[in-house]
Amino acid sequence: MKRYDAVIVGAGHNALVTAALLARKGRRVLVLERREVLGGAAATEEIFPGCRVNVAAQDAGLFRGDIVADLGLRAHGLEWVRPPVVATSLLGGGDALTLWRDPAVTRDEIARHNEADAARFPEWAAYLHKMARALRIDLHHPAPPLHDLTARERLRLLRPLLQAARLGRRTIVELLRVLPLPARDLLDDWFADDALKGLLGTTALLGASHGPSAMGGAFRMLYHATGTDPHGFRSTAFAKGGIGALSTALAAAARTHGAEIRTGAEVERILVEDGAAIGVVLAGGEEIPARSVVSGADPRRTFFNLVGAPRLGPEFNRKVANIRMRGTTAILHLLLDALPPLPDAARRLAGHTLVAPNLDYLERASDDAKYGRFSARPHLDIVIPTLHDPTLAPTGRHIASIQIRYAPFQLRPSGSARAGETGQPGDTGHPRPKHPSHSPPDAGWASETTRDALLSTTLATLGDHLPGLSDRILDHRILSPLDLETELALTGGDEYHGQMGLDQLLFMRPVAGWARYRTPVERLFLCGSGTHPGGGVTGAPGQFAAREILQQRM
Amino acid sequence: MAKRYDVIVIGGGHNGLVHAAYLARAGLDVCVLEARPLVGGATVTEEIFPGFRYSVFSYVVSLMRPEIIRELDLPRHGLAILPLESTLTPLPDGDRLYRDADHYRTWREIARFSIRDAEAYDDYGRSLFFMARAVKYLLDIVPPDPARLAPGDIAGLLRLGRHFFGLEPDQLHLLVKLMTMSAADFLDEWFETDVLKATLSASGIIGTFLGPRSPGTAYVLLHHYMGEIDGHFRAWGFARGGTGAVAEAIASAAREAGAEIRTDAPVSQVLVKNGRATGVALANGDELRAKAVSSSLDPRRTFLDLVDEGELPDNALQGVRGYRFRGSSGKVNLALDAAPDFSCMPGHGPHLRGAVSISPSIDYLERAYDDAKYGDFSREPYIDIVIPSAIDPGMAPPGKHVMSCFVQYAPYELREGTWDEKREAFGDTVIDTLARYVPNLKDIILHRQVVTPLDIERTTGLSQGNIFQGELTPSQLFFLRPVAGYAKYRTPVKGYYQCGSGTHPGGGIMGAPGKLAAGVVMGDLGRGRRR
Repeated sequence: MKRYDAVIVGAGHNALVTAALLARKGRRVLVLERREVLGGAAATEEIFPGCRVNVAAQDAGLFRGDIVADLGLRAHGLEWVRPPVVATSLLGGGDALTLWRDPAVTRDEIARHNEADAARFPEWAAYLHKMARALRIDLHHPAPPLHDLTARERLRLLRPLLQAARLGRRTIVELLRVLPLPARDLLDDWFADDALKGLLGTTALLGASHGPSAMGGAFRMLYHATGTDPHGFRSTAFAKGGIGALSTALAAAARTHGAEIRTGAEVERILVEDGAAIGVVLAGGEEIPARSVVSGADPRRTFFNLVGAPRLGPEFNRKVANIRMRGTTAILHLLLDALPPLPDAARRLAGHTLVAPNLDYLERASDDAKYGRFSARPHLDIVIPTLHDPTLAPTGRHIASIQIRYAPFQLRPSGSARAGETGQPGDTGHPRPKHPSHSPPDAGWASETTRDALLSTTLATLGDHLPGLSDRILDHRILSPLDLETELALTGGDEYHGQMGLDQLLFMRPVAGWARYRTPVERLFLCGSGTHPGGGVTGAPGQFAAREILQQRM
Repeated sequence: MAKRYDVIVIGGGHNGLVHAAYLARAGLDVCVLEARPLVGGATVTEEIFPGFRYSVFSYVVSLMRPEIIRELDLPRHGLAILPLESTLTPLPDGDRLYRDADHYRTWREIARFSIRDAEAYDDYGRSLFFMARAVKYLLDIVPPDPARLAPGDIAGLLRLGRHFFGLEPDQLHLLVKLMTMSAADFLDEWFETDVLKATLSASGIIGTFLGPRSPGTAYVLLHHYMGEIDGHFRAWGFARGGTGAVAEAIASAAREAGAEIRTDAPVSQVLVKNGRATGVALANGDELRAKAVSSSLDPRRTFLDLVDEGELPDNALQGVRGYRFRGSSGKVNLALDAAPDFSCMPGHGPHLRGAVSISPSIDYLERAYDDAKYGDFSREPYIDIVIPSAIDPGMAPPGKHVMSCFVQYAPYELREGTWDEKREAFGDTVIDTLARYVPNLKDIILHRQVVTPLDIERTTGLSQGNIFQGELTPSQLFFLRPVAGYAKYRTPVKGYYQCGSGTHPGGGIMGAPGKLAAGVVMGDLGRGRRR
């Protein structure tokens, strides 16, 4: 029987990066994916007949260019689409604020709302880019251990330190000051216009259950701007053919180098003998021996479901149990027979279309999640991939994939709300039709009624901002955070494999003391978003994990 | 020509007084100028209603550096700190959580809610004790400036690195968590009982405009753990005679060392000539000369009000303008005809000599914060109560009591109306909330004084009524307090220093900024003298 150097659990984008990089170095690699499609949360599937839909992740603007080049992904069919529009914030009453890739157009657009903010925007874009570049030094190197710095580790630190020194000490001090700031404080220092601040503040919410007033938001704004495009918002890019095309290209690259990939192969257990991983057992009972096991699954799933807590120490288990995995996002896919009736829709809706009229709106949406309810007026992030690639749906049809925030994984019984708290006045600044009750039925996400309630809340909010949309819906599919857990194996529905808070970064990710892709089980490695530098479609954890594994003797 | 002092200290708050005392003891000719008729700033005891004496603003003493108490020999100057040993947290259903120095009683009390938590409680206390000891190192050093990297800064950073990397890995990781997490998340890792987590998390929100679930509050929790009284960490105490007695004792020590303290002497301006401070101008027009001037006022007043903007470089101006105050707390001081009767612990008892915390659940505190976030005072506020007269009978006439209620949240900036219009409504809300736990309260109130953030600002000069002279958030701590480049007690104006809570290591009745700044001033003047 063939003996693999590495069996990789899961075929998410990070696992595929690891697989390709290991195979390229001559390692015999087998990837095992429980689903039939590749890509994990970065997959494109036929959700509606004849339509290919990005099931969860939409945007690959953070995906690292050096991986694309290294693995020759373009030769394997990867093609980026960067529409001229970056983001459009729907303000109700047909009004909108759009950021464009062309700074001059953005400037004119903001000037319609606030002249002073428009004048400051280029400076902001440069500032964000500079700070994100400084942060990138951290993210583009493996997290240094805090202890036992060997000569080799010291040497590895040299490069990032030199890069940091080149940025200048003032920039580094400013980075230290700004990272913990709430998005609100950072934005208040720059701008006056509520709509602009609401739009820019949305990136602070990615990977966190907190609202824009919470500390650490500025870090997330920078993190999501660590791509290459300096347009003052999150780095954004779409793949032609849907985000699944990125995963397919990664898989093709891996296969070229000799990696095997099996779908429909669910790993049930990681085999451990004498404290070392020796292979895996599939759901059907098949055992696959291997010299090492690499898990692309999230840390809690890896350690508790696949390895088993009894094999790990109580202290380590406590750390794993304490990783904050708090999914707060639900996803709604709509099949439309035409674009929503907005002037210039095909252009304006080609980026991220947001319902985020101001920071207080986002704050109130997050308040609901704090008490275990989904938002009465959610923040929506709409992407229409058919505007990047019309072949994703039959001619004339469109797909709108909508991230709904906040929809907390853990719902609490509605009785716990303080009287008069539901239905607080919002801040959309325009009259709004009556909304259905958003108190979740006590059954939680497993209940159809809960999902229906979320659906009608979301449609009502959409109706406020894109009137006429509801008449164009041919079909829909809603994914609650629980669905994300059961279908995509995201523990707690957390698509970042652990919240992107300052306490879960660098040498603290996934848990303190184990930030170097190794685990207490010898020859078991992690390579997913739960490891440094973190979540989003970046490929970086997979890349760093591969480097670490290649240093091991096989 | 008029007399020329060595150092003029603006503001007679506890930090200004500590500063002056250390300078005077070093043989310098020091003059403290206080705007109000009494010293203490926010550390004052006043007889607002005849016979009833209040610590009007601050109310407990826990952070005061023990070496300052020792070096200034404050007990000889009348300082006596009485321990505040228990914390009672009443619950709306009539139950309660009562913790005191009796280890086994506290264990049994917590075990009523969760045996697991009772077991974890000691571990938690020990961990925070070690953390506080590790961080305490920072309280005694002038922060090195990573942007300047002069030889002294490099040495300081290396010493700092050696200190922290010398910790056990687990301790270092715990420290990183404390610096970055929310109090609620941090406590979630230890406990499951809501009321225990809530009442512990309250230390993480005091003086902040953050809720217990906001990241950053775990640090404030630790900040409040750094107090030591007689070597005991997290020992909260009450100064006999109120917190004003602390200021009086320091003032007495300063005077003994030769410092001159003038009250009713508000400063209108720092005099600057050729980029160098030469003295101050008083509101009455008098001018006083000095080799150096130290301001114990908050950064906004120190930089923006007292000196001309033209004297400051852009980065300092921008930094101070972006420095955040956001006062969030108020105070209700009550004069009572009899002792308050808590329905969860009726009658007299040791709980009256401790703190009573209205913090029944994390959600309760979060909701209180939500109200403030949108510009209103909390409809059901967090309240931290002490009854000074139960500890020190001299604070009220026999048989009567004073009750001090620290209240959050009371945001300085209201979305609607002004604090002058809302003061009494705010007071009513506090009384109504309390009356749910103290049924006899409304019948025994003789007088009440409601102190809003605006009142704090008006009376003490603290911008936006922030009791810490600026938020204790990571962006405003250590070498960033108050702003990068000016965290070492100096300012862009030569001979002009800062020594208040707006500098490292921050707020609370601690005295550390005043003492550390004194070291810097002495060093600078000493060098000058040698030349």
